[in-house]
Amino acid sequence: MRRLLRHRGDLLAALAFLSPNLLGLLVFTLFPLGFSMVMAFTNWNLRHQNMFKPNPVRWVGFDNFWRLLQEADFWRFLGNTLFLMIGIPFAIAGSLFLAILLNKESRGGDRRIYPLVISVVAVLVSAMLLGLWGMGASAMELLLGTTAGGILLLGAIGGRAVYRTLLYLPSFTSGVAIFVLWKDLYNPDTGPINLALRPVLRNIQNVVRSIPPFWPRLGLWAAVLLMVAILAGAFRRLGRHWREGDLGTGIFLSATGFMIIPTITAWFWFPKVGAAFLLTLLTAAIVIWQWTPLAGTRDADGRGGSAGGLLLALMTLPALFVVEGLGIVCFNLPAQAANGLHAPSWLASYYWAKPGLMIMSFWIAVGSNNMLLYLAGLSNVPPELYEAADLDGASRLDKFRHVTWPMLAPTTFFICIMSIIGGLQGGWDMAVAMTQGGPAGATTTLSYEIYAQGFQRGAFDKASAVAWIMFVFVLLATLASWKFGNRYVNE
Amino acid sequence: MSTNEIAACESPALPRTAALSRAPMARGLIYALCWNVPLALIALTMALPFIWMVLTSLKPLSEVGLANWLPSHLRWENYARVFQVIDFARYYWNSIFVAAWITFLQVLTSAMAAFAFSRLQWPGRNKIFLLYLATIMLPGLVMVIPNYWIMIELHLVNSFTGLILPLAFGPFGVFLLRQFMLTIPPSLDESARMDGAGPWRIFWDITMPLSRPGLITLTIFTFMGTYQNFFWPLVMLKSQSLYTLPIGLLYFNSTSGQATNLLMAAVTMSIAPLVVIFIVLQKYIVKGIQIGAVKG
Amino acid sequence: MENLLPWGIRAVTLPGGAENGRFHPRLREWGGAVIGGPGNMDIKHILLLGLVLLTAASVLTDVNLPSHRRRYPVLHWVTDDNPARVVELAPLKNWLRRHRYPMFTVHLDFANDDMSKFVIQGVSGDADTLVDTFDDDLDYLHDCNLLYNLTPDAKKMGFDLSHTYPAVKATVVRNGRQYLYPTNVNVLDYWVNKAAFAKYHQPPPPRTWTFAEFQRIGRAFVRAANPPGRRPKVFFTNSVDTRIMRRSLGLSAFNETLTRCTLADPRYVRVLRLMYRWTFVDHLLPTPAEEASFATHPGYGGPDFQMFNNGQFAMLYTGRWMLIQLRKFYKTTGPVPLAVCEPPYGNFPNALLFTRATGIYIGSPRKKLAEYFLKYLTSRAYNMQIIRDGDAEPPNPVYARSRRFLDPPQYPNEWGCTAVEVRAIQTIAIPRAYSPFVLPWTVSRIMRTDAEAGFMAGIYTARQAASLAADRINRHIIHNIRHSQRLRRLYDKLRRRQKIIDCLRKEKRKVPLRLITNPFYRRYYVAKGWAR
Repeated sequence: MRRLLRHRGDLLAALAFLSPNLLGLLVFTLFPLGFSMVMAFTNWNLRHQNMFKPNPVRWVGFDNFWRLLQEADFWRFLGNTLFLMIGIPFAIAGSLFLAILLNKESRGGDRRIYPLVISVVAVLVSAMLLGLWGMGASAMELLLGTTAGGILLLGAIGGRAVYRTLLYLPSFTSGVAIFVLWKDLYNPDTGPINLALRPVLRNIQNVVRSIPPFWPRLGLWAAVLLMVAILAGAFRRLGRHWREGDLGTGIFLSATGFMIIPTITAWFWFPKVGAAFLLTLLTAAIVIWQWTPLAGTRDADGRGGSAGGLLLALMTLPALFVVEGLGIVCFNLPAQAANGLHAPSWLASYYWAKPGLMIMSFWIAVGSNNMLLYLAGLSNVPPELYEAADLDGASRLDKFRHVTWPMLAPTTFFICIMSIIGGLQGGWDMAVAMTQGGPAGATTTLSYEIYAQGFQRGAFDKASAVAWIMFVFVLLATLASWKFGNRYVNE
Repeated sequence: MSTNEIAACESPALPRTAALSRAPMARGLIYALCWNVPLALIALTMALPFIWMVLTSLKPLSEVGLANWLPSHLRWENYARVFQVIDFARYYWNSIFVAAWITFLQVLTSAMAAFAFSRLQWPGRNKIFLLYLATIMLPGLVMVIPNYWIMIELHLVNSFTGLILPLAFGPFGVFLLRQFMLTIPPSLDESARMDGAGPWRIFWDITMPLSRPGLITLTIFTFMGTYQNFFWPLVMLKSQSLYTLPIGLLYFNSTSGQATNLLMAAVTMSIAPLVVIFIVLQKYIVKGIQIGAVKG
Repeated sequence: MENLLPWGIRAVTLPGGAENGRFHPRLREWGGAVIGGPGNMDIKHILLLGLVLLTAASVLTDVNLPSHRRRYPVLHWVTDDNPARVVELAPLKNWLRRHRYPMFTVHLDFANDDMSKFVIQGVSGDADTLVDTFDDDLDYLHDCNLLYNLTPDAKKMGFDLSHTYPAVKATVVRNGRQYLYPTNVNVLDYWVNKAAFAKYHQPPPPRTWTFAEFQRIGRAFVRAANPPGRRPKVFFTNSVDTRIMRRSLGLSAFNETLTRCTLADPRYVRVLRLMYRWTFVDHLLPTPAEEASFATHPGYGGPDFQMFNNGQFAMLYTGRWMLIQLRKFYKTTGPVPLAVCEPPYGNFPNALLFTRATGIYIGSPRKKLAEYFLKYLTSRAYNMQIIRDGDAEPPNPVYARSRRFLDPPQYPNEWGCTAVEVRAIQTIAIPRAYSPFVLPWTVSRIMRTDAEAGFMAGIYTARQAASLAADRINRHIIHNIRHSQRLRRLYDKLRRRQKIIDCLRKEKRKVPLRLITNPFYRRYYVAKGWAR
């Protein structure tokens, strides 16, 4: 009896404690959520229905969605969103790399070494600066030398915290200020990026002009071979996962399908049909070569996971695209050099605006929370595992592959899912601050389209419809993480 | 998470217990340089945009856009001029004011809700908490348009109240603080209840003091997040006298002409507090992120 | 709503075992006093202090808002970032005092000079009182019902249509109601820096020219002004106007009854190809990328005026308002010898009227005062200020005839320039074709951002861009008439007329003028002798 009473007392107290926050949540999160659903099925446009023009809002069913799906632009904006997400794996790899570097660098070992390290660094830095000065270096070179030396010295004194601060600053300060800064960095005429690129490009141009066009063109064929090698490695891994029963057949097939995409796009993008043909031929050969021994060998009681396959496909795809792009660039280089190589005009150019944003995002994301999460993950790896690996005579690479990487798998998976969810919703802030979604819609992502439709054109109906389509994508990613995450992490 | 903790699980390449002879010392030195030099170079690359920003902010306009990053002479008056060409002091104040209100409301209501979820027993607790968890994953953009409509109906468009309210009750703070409060041993509450203390008293006298690190972390994150917040002020604010810093920066060019050096001075000044806060409060921030909090 | 990082994560738990917070070291027994300790403030008190401080700060902020510290009522005016506005407002105070009108001050608001922003603010119930419209903005505002109908008051107070140019009517009147009064009026022409032509030993261009002449003269100029084999640094002009070129070939954006977009037409394709050729092949004008890179020139108008003054642009496609900035350069670089040419025409000379006109926001409580401001725009004080300062043509045509305006005595280099523009306003200016079935704002967005920018970026061919523009605009028309009974009826009526027109044209018979609603074709048919 007493217990019950106490619980009732707690219920009232709990309600009292909960009410301010819960009320806010209801009014500003849950109600809007439902309401935006309703909006997406009406024809509510502020132009037609507002406080000075009280037209009735009508129910239009799925009309908004049908219209969106029929619009070529909607698909283009979805494509832009996905295109910008190609940078995610690179940023994650960069974060991991930095975290490993940071984890190694620390004042481990004997403290007595450190005075020595500091003094050696100080001597080296001053010697380098003196040398630079003696060689008549320009003020710019001296500036860079001094800064690099200063960072090195600070790092030797302050250890990891110094580097961590510097690496983390871009993501911590990221916001309008950073976007405004990068907009000026990207200025095609006076921005420091192009000012630095111009002499480099001129040298490349002269080199390319001086050699016969045959050699750079060879790059395309080299790219084909490289792509085939990557594909072979990925298929091999995929096949092993499948045979060991870690991978469901459906996922196995769809991952294979994903990884063939670059081969298909080669038919549209490659300047030489022969190269696309060769790539297709070799890809088919690999598939057959890797698949034939697989038949009937599958472990019958496999658990049929999927995250490993998806992760593999997600990591391989961007690499393939990059190699493909490099091959095409190489092939076109002689023709370009003959016309003169010009620095890209970045945000003002239809083709360079997205890569520009991706480079900036990489700079922001590489030292971000992901790096800190990896650092925490690394510090959770039990040292005994490394010691055991040492006893087995494992190389550094082996230790990374068999100890570090599997131990970090939960973190990696978590970061991937979060980055995908973030990427699906991202891009509007950069577009608002830097490009206005242009040029010609090149940087309009789904989220920017929501902003543009809702707050530039007053089309609450259309904006809500886009928002809900985006919501579905995010939901799918979240569900995927719930469904496969635990299984993968427990592997 | 201090440096020493991590050092404790350092890679075994450098045996800690080995007596220092000449050879390991040289090895240790080379080892230290091996990791330091690439890190310093990467850190330099990451810092280059910031270096350019600061140097440009000190140039006269005629030198902006030259290949040489160094100004011929340092023009500190650029910083003073920013305050003349736009109402920068007001934007600063507005940003801090709005962020402070949101942080205050967020911390207070989140702490109370987290208390209800972690320290009180009541039917339906887990279900409602699940609801909170689910809302964390929602894309904020879905809610923006209805929220804007709410503000129209309440006649709060273009006002600080309208700016503050929707941002003041997030589920994230509740989640974070609940994590902290769960670690407080229940025996403390029990003994307090024995002595006749009610929930209100327990909240203020036991739970809150013991959640201090969590409260500090949440305060930092909320403040930083709202100081940088961009979308909601962008759609809500019309009057220049209400602008926050991000909006002021965004329209810097349209209100003061294209003066890149002044713009960079303004950018530097708007970033500076963040840098200082990060350097001073690093411990809490890094820890907060690693516990599962991420800048919102 | 959260400030999302680009690939940022708004994350929750680390799946691995998360480390949790530690206990307070000073905890010995339960009870706040023990935990707090001396010098270590209780959280309760910190929060209380925070609340007090925040309340104080709120009061302080509110008191310090500029609106609380003004003597006279303030009207905010959304207008372009133009130094001339400041000068043009200067006589207002004296003018109000002299006529014993109620006193008020006008504050310029450049930051909201964006129609889409104003509309969102307007429908949300909080926008500035006075709003400038440019070109086709009125349709957008009228469509949202955001402006006061000024017709009765304009007549009473004397800022109705009889106080401005007749051609302005299309810009300020909708459904027979006046919503705006012009701030200034202009046509766009090529302003010529004669010194740049002389520098490269080129004869100055003729006042009117064909596409071929424009191309020939431009190529000769660019070849003479730039070293061979390099990217040109000196350009013939900054832009070409596809609308005027298209209309000079006899093609309006809409058909005779404004029921259908007719841009999918070889004539539009030809104009697009010309623009491409002049930009990327002949380098008469900078590419969009080059334009974006013309860097950091401070002051009104951005880099263009400066570059024109330097001779980096031999001609600038602009209006008389350029003189606002140009006259400032005279002091340092000396006056530039100027001339004005009309845009190149196909076979039908025409001009577009660009009117900057001011209206009053319907949600504003200060309508009465705002009307005094519109009255001020008709006044001698304001118009003479425009004439002195070099903004576009004064809104009140009475003042546009003055000798001082056409040939300003202190600027002999400008003589004869303004006269070309004034004549164009009074003779060949034809208003744009506004279809009632689709917002002009949508039309120009589709034409410029979707089709023309996409074409110039190389995404579409000229033919694709033209049919894409027509297709999208027509889809908007279909969608709009489906959702409005009124439009549907009007549309059906006009479609029937269009059929008649098409029949008559096919049989090469004359068309009754009353059937044609498109203002461009009304003039074009008369000029061609196709109308009766």
